[in-house]
Amino acid sequence: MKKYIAKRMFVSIVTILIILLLLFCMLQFMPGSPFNDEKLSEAQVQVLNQKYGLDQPIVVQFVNYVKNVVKGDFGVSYSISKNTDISKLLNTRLPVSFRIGGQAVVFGAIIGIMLGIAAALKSGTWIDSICTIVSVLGVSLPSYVFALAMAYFLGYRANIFPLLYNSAEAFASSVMPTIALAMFSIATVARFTRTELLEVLDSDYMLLAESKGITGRTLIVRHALRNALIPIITVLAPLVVDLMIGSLVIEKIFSIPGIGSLMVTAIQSNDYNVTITIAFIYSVMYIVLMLAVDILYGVIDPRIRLAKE
Amino acid sequence: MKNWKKAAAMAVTASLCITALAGCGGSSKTEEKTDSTEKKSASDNTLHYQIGVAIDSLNPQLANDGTSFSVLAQCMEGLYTKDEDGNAILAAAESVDKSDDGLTYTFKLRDDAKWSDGSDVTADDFVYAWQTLADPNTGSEYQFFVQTACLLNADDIVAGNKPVTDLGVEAVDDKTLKVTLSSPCAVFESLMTFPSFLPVKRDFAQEAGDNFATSADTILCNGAFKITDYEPSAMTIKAEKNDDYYDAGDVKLDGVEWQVILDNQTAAMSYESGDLDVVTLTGDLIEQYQDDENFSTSQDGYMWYISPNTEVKELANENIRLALAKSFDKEAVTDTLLKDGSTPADYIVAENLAVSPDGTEFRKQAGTYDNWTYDVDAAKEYWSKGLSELGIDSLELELVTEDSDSAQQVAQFLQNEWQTNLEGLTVSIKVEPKKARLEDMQNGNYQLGLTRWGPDYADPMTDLDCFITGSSTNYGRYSNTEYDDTIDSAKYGELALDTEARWNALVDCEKMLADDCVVFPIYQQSIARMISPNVSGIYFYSTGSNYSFKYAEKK
Repeated sequence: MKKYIAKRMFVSIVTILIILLLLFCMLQFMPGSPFNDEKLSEAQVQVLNQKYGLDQPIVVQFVNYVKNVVKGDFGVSYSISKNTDISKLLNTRLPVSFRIGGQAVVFGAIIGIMLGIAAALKSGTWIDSICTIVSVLGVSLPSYVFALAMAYFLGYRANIFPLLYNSAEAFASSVMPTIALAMFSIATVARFTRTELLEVLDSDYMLLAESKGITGRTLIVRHALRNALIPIITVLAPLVVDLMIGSLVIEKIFSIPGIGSLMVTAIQSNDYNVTITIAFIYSVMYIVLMLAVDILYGVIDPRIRLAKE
Repeated sequence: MKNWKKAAAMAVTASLCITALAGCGGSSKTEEKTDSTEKKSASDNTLHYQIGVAIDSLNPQLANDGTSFSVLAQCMEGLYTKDEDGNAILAAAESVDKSDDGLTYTFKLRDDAKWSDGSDVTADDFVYAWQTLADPNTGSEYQFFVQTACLLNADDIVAGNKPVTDLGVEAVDDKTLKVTLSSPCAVFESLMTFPSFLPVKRDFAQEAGDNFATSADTILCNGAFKITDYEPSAMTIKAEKNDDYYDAGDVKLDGVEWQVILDNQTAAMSYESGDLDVVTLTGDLIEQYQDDENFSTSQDGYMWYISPNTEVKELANENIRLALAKSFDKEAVTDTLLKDGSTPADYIVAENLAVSPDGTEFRKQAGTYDNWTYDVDAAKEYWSKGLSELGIDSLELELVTEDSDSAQQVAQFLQNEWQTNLEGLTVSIKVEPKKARLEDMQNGNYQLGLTRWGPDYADPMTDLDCFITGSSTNYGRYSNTEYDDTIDSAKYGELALDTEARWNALVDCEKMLADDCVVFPIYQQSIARMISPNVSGIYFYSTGSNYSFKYAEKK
């Protein structure tokens, strides 16, 4: 197991380096530069390129960049928030995105699994139908529809939650965005849970367990759900990264200072360092999560052996 | 291994429970808090103002967009500020002594001009700030202002040939500032209202170093308000009344809160719910609110126009250019497409931008130009003449535009008008992000470009300067010696000394642009807003900072 994890870690680091290089090249090919402005003279652009080392060959830039990243220095923003350390920019925004995304993941997973279980156990009844409707709506309606509807009814009309994100009431402000973000995961997880659970409930070992006298909650949670969890984790894992990194649309509607909107602004203004750093965080999270999922598989289902022990 | 698995499973369960519980615990607090917010926003004497983008910098010499400039202008004050009509009036300086040759200005700073830490605003604060602005290493987009203001040695410093200490600004004593120009500058006073020339306290900025102006603790204010809550790319910026400000008695608001809202619907709901006092409207919302009594529009200085690349063979033909310039309905653009109060423009120097030495508004004197007015019949004539001169019967052109909604809509409208009115013309649209569009246009790598220009100071020069040979904003590569010479003389030569002759020469310059038809004006932009009925006394401007809250009131 340890050897396996070490191997995976090594592969992950190499992957991250390759991703960094790719990002670097892609930004080079993007039209424009961070200093493309009506008002900057050519001489000034030269000075700026020199100041930030952008006049050097891409290989040198890349090596310097990786050296700095290893030291934890992601550079400064060139245009969207001039000369500000990226770490400072992200310090305030990352926790907000992580918080809302994390809440959405937990909320989405719990509600989704509960809905799925209810639908599977009461398969064919009105409960099942309601769960199906929720799933279809959640998957087919974009999250901003829920966001706008909630903003209108709960925020504006009923005045229960703040319309705009307010750091002084971080939790209250995060309720509506969390629900809006979670809708898709609720629907996806519910659908998978229902299908998997129905399949598991139909299997021979469930019959065996039942005939052994195991009933009720123990039967469902310990024997059925545990086996149904594997595909659910597989679909949930990539969702987690998407949710944690924030959603531009949701951030826009609730004016949330998250990193989704920062990333889009950075791309539009060719702010290389900000773009690369956020993409980098995204990749690292993805890789770490995938590793965690692989390990979790083994925990949930002993039949899956990752490596010889 | 088994124990480890069990522990992991328990940890997961526990964390789920904690999160769920935290959620439950939080929701009861929520209700109390929501109540208190409601009361707060109804009764507070703070102006809640919506902005559409985050601030790029609160360092006066690095800031580069109207949003940042406007926040700065509420919190800091330069030698001059703007009155209700946008004219320059003395602010941090109490008097000025101008030499007869127009080359030396000696300012006496107010004794009671203080920074928000209680220290005096001194002449050296201006010296330091202006030298920073001129320094090529600063990389300020507004560095060229030291040249526009004709500060002594500005050209050499910008080119890197002289040290910034040679700049024509010096502190005679703590409260006396001497500014030396290389030639008389007609726009000097107007320029001095611009936030790039705001003072910065040397010791304070140097101590803060790279962190200068990145938080409330690293910003010093000398204006009506002082920043109390700010961080880079913040969505909310808070300021409170600055009690150290010499004119604090006239400031009626307790504070200002700027809220970044990107979504129009959210902005409208926040206005309706009373969370915001002033919001900007765009698109469909304008239609929804335009009959409301609190709806208002204010003219902005931004001019939207098409720049034809005169190096493209077909566009080098004047008749083709005239046909293109006259064949689209500008009124339809402003009245049916934009509906935000924007006005059709048959001119390139913005309306209500500047007044002549004898008090005549530029547009009133210059009027409009036949070459730029909408007239399909005339356009068709020019078109067929142009085509026969070129010996062709059809033409394909590409129009480049940026990816904003309004720009794309206008581009599509023009495409349709041109193709309908000019037989044999096919126009394709290329949509690019702004930076990419600018690069293409600056490199001359385009045919027709939809672009805009916002005035930087209250003088026709700010618009006309874009069209001199070699200017980075002269996208279409227009080159006219007479035009260049006149502009040059108005900036640094004989005309600069004779304000009246200069003014008339600038009117002639605009006429040259119309005669040669090297730009196709479309409209002058306006901004539509909802302003809460209990708010009054906000001054809106079309150049530099967009508004002033100094005399604003909230009942």
